[in-house]
Amino acid sequence: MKEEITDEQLIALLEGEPNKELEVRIQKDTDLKRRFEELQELMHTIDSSAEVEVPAHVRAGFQQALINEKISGSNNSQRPWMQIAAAVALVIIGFGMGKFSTNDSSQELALLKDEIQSLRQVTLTSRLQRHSASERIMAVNQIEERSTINTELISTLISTLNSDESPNVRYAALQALEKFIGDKDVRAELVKSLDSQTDQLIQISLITILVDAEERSAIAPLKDIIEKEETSPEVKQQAQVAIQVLT
Amino acid sequence: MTDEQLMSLVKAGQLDYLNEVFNRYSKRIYNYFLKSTLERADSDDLTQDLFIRVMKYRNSYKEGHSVQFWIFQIARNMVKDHFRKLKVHQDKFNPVEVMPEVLEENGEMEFEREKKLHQAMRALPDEKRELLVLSKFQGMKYEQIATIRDTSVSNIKVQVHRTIKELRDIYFELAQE
Repeated sequence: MKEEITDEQLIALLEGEPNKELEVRIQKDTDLKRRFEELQELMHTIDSSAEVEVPAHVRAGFQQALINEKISGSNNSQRPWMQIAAAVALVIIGFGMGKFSTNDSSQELALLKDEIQSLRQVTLTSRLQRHSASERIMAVNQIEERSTINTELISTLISTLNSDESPNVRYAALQALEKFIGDKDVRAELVKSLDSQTDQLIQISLITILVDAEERSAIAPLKDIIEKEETSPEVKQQAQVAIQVLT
Repeated sequence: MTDEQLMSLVKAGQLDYLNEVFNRYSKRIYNYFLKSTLERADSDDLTQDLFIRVMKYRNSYKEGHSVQFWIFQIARNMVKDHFRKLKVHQDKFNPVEVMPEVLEENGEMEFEREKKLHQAMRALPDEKRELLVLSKFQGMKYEQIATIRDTSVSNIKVQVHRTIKELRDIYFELAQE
């Protein structure tokens, strides 16, 4: 009488364990063959199961956490905390003074809100002046996400666009400023900025934004860009197209 | 650079190297969570949380030890916690949700088979499903799983084979429905 073949033996064969005798028996025994083929189909389905790509938002979430970790690590030993602590103290003092000077609670609330706004602004501006490029980009993005923005923050963005040492931070500032292109002062500052930019990506983006805004005052600085020897051929070409559109 | 060298640099404070750890492990970890929990949104959260834990607890990594082993230990504990917290997780399952979008284009039969496979996996106990994910979907050797589960290789082999038999029975029962 032949030895009974177990499922474990069939699975072991499918996993690559050599067993010539079993292979021969499978070919001769119809029931054994059916059991083997069932397991084979299951294993094939498992093997051919495709992997799913990691969604982009998972990576973005992790990278944001990484930036936060770097900020909290660097903040432990740097002065901005003192600046923020001082600003918090100012809010409390301001709130206390408001309470003494008036009995109107809505006025107190408005005062507190203003002070909190100022505190947030001090924090953002402070972060743009210090820290690493990635942290400065995050500060720019946070300014961009704010529902209200005042002239002081716009000036900070313009100053970042014109003077930050990192092209990535300057580019982020430009993207944030694009939201305020309806403001004629912002447009005027962007036209002025054409002269100071040297990074090709920023130059081309700036030209595109000004063309989209139909800002005709950009024509003169665009001509200057074309005449500059150090301007790249791509930027010169973009500037020429822009002049044609704006003229 | 090996995974172990990367983690040593991270531990020394060079956090940017975590991006490379993420590049090397995120897809494997994501699919481990996906096949273990069979929930896409939960796997998104678990994957993100795992790499945040790797960052936060970087000092607990023992230099020279296998990064893969360390990361999968964290992942296993997270899956266990996940099931502990989850009161009901059988009623809203949609197998298509955990399959790649492109699969449907590869042929109806393959698509249906994989759908059935995920339904069958859903019916397995969590511990057995995890064993199957590590051995068959993650391609880990029995020796590696034995280390992770702190048991013998022969015990793992027996358990995997039993799980495959159980899965086969459920899979072909579903085929007859």
